Amino acid sequence: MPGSDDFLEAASRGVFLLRRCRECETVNSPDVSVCAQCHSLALDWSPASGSARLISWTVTHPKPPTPSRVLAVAELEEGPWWWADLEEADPAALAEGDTLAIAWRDSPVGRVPIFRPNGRVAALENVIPNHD
Amino acid sequence: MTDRMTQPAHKRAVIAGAGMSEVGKVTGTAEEFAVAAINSALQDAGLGLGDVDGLLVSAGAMGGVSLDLAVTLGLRDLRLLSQLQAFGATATQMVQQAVLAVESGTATTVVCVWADDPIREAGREALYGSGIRPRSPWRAIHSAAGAVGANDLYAVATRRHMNRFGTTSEQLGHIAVAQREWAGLNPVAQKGDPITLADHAESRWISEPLRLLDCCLISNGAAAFVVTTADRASAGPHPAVEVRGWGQSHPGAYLQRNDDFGLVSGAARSGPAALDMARLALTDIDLVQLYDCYTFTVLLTLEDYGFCDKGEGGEFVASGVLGPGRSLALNTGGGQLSGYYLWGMTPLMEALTQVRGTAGQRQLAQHDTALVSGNGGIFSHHATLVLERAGS
Repeated sequence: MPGSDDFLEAASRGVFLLRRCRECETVNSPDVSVCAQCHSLALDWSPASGSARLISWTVTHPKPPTPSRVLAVAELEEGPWWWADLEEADPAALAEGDTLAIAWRDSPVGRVPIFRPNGRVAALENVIPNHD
Repeated sequence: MTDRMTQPAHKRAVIAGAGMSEVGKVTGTAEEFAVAAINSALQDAGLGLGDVDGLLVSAGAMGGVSLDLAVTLGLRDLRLLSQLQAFGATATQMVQQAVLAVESGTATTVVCVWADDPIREAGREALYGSGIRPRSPWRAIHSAAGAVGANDLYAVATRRHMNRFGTTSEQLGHIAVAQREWAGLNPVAQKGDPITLADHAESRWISEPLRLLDCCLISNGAAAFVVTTADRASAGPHPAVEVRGWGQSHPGAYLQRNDDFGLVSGAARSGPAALDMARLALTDIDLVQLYDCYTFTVLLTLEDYGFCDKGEGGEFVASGVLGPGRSLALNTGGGQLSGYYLWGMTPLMEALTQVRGTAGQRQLAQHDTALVSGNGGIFSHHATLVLERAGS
């Protein structure tokens, strides 16, 4: 399937592609073929900046031994939402509006974009609170 | 649309009968359950397979029934035969489609059936949902990134509502407790033992903030109903049910930008649309049967239908309005949380049972008019019905 093939090819190079409409300049999610705003077919691939704003999340509790994950939905700087695991975050410290960054996960289907907290390091003692 | 009740009895379509197979942890295939449900529904309507010239089939998570059901049933010369799939919104949609078919003259007597067999004996096991849709590359990409599993996605929605409006887990617990009370009065309910708010709070996490007692059951079984004209139905042994109104809403943008996600669902459009068609208001509704894959789904739907203001669903459900004998007759068979999980057939079957006065120990005294919801996907598909007992 052309769209997902192009997406995965760019992802393998660490590039997260979105769909920018030539007619109305809306940036759409990568999985559309038609602009959600104006229904034009004139969509170009356009790389995401990699920055996102947290909207909501969950902490999953699958059957052991599968480990818990934080699954988040965040709004990319360009507008589309992206759903992905948020790694290396303390779920108890999350808040809507937190800045996230795109990271990359290798999977059987290819490299896919996931989230990490923006500018944070894994060790909790280095965490600097960024809100009250 | 003109008032449906202005149509004469030889044209206007009604629900003439309904039936179910055994339901729960019962052994059998989806097709076997479907045949049992269809025979039960036809008997209930005072009709036979020889009267049927339309069939709408819908499969659950395992894809266990298809158009082949017509072959199994020995049906010939059907004028309507289709498979429908809108997940939890399908049952409500099948009522709409069957009514449209009969009123257009496409068919005279339409049977609608849904069946599933996710609970399987050794040797037949399969992943829940394996019959739902073909794997697609984008689905695989989203899954690899982590967006897989209805529990997780609904939990994200629930947390958004909690963060925005202060809704609490305890408030969700009120829904679980009340529906379990109703289930205790339902002879076919899978879970009838009472639970407390403490039981809910101590039930294990499924996906935070949803706990085990916030999530629906898993069931084997089938349900069916028969749609024909009002005059044909009036010859049957039980009261028919008028379809006063319907609506559908599919907000779109699945997994894409959806600013209302977790805050407002399609119920906000399909509910008013159904009531408008029915020329009725919420105050005219005697009983409410809402799709309850999770407690949160109920809370959001109550807000979107207008039973309380947006954001006040938590306060509303915790205010003492729920449960047998209280002011809001909601999910009076226990729903999907405690009764049985036949997707959209759960709220529809309970609505038909109550409206027709056959609910036994849990029968409501006031039972003329029902509001029924269907919810599919991750708040992706919504449908509403307004039903009323014929002659009320």
